Amino acid sequence: MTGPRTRTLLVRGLAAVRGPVALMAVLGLLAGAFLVTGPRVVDRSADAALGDLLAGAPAAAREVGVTSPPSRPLGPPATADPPREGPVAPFEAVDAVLRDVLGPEVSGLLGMPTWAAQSEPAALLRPGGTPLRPDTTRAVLRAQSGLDAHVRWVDGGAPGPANDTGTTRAGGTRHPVRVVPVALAAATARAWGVAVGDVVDAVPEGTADPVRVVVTGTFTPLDPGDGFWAAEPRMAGLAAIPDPLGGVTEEAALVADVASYGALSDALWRAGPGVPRDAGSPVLAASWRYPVDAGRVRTRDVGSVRALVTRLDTDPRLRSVPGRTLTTTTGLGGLVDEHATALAATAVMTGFATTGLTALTVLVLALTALVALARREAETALLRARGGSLRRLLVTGAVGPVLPVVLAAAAGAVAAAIALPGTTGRTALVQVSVVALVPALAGALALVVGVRARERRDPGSHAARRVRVVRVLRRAVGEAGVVVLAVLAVTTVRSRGAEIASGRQDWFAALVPVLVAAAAALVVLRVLPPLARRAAGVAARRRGLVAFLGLARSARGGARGALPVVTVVVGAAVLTLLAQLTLTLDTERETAALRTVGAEGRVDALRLDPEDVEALLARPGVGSVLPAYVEAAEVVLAGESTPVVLVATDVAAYGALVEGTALAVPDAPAEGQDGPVPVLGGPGLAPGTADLVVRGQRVPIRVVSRDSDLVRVVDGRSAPAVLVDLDALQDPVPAVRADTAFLDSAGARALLGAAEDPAELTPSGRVSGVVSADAVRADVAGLALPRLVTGTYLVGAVLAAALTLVALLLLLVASRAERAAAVARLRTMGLPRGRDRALAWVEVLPVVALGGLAGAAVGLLGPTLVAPALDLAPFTGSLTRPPLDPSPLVALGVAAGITALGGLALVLDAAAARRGPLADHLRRGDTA
Amino acid sequence: MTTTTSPGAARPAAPHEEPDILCDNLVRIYRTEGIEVVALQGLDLRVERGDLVALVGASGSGKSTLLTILSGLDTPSAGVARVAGHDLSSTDRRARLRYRRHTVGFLFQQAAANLLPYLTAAENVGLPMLLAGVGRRERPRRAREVLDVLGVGDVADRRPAELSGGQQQRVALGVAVANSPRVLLADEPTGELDSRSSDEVFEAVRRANEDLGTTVLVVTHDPLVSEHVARTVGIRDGRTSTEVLRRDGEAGLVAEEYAVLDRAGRLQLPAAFTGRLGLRDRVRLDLEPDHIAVRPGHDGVDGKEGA
Ligand SMILES: Nc1ncnc2c1ncn2[C@@H]1O[C@H](COP(=O)(O)OP(=O)(O)OP(=O)(O)O)[C@@H](O)[C@H]1O
Ligand SMILES: [Mg+2]
Repeated sequence: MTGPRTRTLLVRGLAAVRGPVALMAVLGLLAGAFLVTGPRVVDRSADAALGDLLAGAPAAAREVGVTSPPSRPLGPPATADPPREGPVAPFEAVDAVLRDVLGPEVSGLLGMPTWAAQSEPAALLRPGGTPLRPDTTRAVLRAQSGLDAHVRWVDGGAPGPANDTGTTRAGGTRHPVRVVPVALAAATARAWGVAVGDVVDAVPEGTADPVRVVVTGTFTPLDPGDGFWAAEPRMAGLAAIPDPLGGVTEEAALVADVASYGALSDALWRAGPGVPRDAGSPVLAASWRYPVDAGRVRTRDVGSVRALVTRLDTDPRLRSVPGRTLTTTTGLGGLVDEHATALAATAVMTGFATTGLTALTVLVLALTALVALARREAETALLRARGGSLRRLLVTGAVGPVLPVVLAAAAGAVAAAIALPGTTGRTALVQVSVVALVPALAGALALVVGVRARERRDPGSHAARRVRVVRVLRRAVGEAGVVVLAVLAVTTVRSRGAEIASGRQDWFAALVPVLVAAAAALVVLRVLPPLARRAAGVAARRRGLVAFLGLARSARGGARGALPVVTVVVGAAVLTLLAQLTLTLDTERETAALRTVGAEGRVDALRLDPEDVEALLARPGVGSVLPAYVEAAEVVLAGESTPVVLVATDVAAYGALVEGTALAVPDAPAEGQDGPVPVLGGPGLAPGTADLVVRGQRVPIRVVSRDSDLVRVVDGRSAPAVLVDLDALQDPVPAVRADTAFLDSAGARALLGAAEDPAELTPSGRVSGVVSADAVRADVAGLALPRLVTGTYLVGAVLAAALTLVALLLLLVASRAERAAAVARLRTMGLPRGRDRALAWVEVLPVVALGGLAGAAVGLLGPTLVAPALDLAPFTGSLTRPPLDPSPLVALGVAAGITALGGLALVLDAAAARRGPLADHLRRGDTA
Repeated sequence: MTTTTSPGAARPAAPHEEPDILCDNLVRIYRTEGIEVVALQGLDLRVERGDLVALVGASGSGKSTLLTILSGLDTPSAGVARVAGHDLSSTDRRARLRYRRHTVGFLFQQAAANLLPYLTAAENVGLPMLLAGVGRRERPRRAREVLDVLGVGDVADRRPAELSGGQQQRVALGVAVANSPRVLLADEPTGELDSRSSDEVFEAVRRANEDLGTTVLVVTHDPLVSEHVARTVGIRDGRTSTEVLRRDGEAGLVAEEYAVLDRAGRLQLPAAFTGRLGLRDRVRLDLEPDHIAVRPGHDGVDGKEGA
């Protein structure tokens, strides 16, 4: 036999409340894991998002480009002289300077740099003087590094240095040159009928001399999407260059080795004998490309990239390369800014879920701590009566039992940290500590308040009134404090929203819904008692005994009753907010995809002739193919030009095609009149006459009606659309020909599945691509940040619902003993059996429903309240800020869901109560 | 208890020696939501050192209120309450804590509220010692001693749920006297028990009084209990109203009933007396050489004497 020790008291006392403690430990574990995992997941998503962004950006934007124009010629060309060595290639010298400027950090992020020098386009002739092709055929001459690494050789091999010599007479005069070995795209060679070993003379259009080349190889690009080809698409195949008269010139590039730089320049413009070799080439423009490797860049590199962007503008080293004017271009600054904006938007978006969940966890933890403490109330009173000091009571009653919670939270945090490598900021640690300490704090506070209240002296009748007034005032002040905080948060977010959205992290924005919900909960707690009393009065008159009693009981509040109400309101607010934002994201993503595609599906082509349309229609599953011409154009009104997206098609048919989607258009403009072409205008285009600039030509138009939703995206730019009949536009501008076709979703699906290479879709091979709005939407939804937000919201919604349910169960458990006593008393007065459950329903459900409604209202207002800080664009693929349309239906649904959760809690509680002895055991706690 | 006393008769207190319990004009008012309940309205009580006094009274008359004040759990609204020299109106928390640990032992009305369910009987008795800072080695020994004295040594290692109601209350008594308090306050220790267990428990209380020399104030509804006590104080409406003193006579204990005259000279007449004589509203008082006569105030009824 041993006497009890403090440890015995602690351990056995803990066992007495093992249920609540286990619940708190689970919550602590989850919270610890969640708070540590959250930032790490965000970090990963941020890195992945940066990768997405870089991979999706045009090649020129994600590289540092340097260009140097041809130098000024020193005297006329010495055309007839024998070949000389030509100017020294500038590549290595400039590369060395650039490496210096880039610095080691950025250099580590780069893929393989390449450089090139290129001439103006030249006409191509056979050595005998006959044109290579009957129509206009031109090519640029390009000395390019790194070609071999980017191609598969179809025939022959990589061009080497120029060794042979020859004499061309193409320009009319005799011009001895070194023959430059070149390679060209296999597709171009095929189109031109050129083979390896062929010799071609290239005759520039300007004052430069001709150059002779020999084809050493033909190739196909290994990866046509590689930025290498984006720098000069003519390397990969023929490019159709439109000319103002409606014709098309086909151009290609003949690619030489960089070692041929001197020979090429010498052939095109032979410098006089006195000109130094390092004076540069008067005919070749040089360029250097330092592409960023999307896979290597992490969010933490953003700083060094920003610094580099500044350096590129200001670094004197770039201006001190002798004889060279270097121009640097890069889109990296814009990209990292866009990334930062997207991250800020993500932080605000995920912040709603994380702060909401944290608040709910804190509330439920505090509530559980109070329930546990209440279970040991008699014990506390006993220890106090026997002379237990407050400190001892705190240790054994409030703090000791929650030690497992701290341990569980720590374990959760550590486990998460091990499972998901990454870094943990101090914020996360502070958050975990606070959450872990909440039960101890709540318990300690409740204990001290309880003990003090029990031992309060009778203040005397005079002071009693004052005490009462003080209590009322204190509550009012507390409530006012919460309301003021909420208002402050809302006004701050509304006035500084733009700052927050553009990258200034601000927890205020994320806290707004929780704070407003807390304020709403206080209102609910205020109106609930009088409301319930009034309802109880009505029930009493109608002789609804159970209704009367239940309502009368719910009219009485108390801290243990107040916390669940606050939890319900906050839970409903968080759920509504998440549901609403998810819904908005979904619809806006769809709208953005439709605006980008122009319909459910679209076919892009070089040109779309009637036989192409026929061929597409012949494909199984394709119901309608609507030819159209889409271009980024301008509307000029009173000297002011507005960028627009011109959509020329059969407007009536288009209207029918997009009927029922977010793209629905007003009725077609009146047709067949003389004068200005009637058009439908997007937002900002005032009805009336204006000029449409299309293909360099001004067409008078008349905006007959305006639709604020008529917005389209073309070339990565969102603009109001101008919808016009293709036929009507072709009258004044015959050069406009259909190059696009709109499809319905079934057609898009059919065509996407029909052929690997879109060129095979029609015999003409002119189709270059098929897109569907669904695919675009799926692409956007699959990006890192949208996935992060969707995932966070899903997890957040599930956890918020679970926490709300737990709070409701705790409410029932906490009030069960009291209710059981009431029922026992009522039984003796003749309450029929089975009505006791009804008592619980009447007592709890109205409270839950009211709380759910209040929370849902807050959630409904939420997005509007924080609108200035909320930018959904990064998650929808929209280029402009999507609107936030509150949806009362969603709010009502959530309120109904919360009420259903209340019902579920009641059913669970009833089931637990039916489990007889065990339930008894639980109900009394282990204290009695 | 064999010594029967009347105030100041059989056991004259030395003038300098203070009584163990002294209440003078004690008032306790409960205020809730604007309603005032005067639970004690000017109660006087004096219990000498080593006495065993029973406290009886109707439900709601203020017995528990008095005991909670005397045990230092509650404070009086007005008046004086002194126990073993401690002024209970003072609010010094530490002094109260020390008072609760060393000076007073308390037995709650609800048996379940006296014991921690997850400690054995011996551990429960050891608990107040732990709180009072008794050494770890000494606690089990002393707890065992106390339990033996109270006749429950054989169940020392059982938990409360494994004890009968009587055993529980005796263990609870052990808890109350664990630190050898000067004063033991028991609020209906036998209220929830059958008569046999009730006898055992009361016997244990008596033993605490006699063997340990503890002053005992015990609230009871049980007539069997009050009949075995030398002095029984009756409370009505928050005031001591009557006292019954019992002496050993030829035919066992002989009871004498007294009314209590408070310091302001107020007197409560037993309802049975006033009803019998139809005393209402006004009465006539006459001072006789050795007593005071109380007669109905209205004419036509012959005066009768009461004391
Ligand atoms: N905490 C309290 N708040 C308000 N009123 C109280 C409180 N405690 C007791 N009372 C009231 O004070 C009066 C005296 O109560 P007390 O408990 O002292 O009576 P009692 O004599 O012990 O009754 P019983 O024999 O039923 O135990 C009662 O009217 C009671 O309602
Ligand atoms: Mg009582």
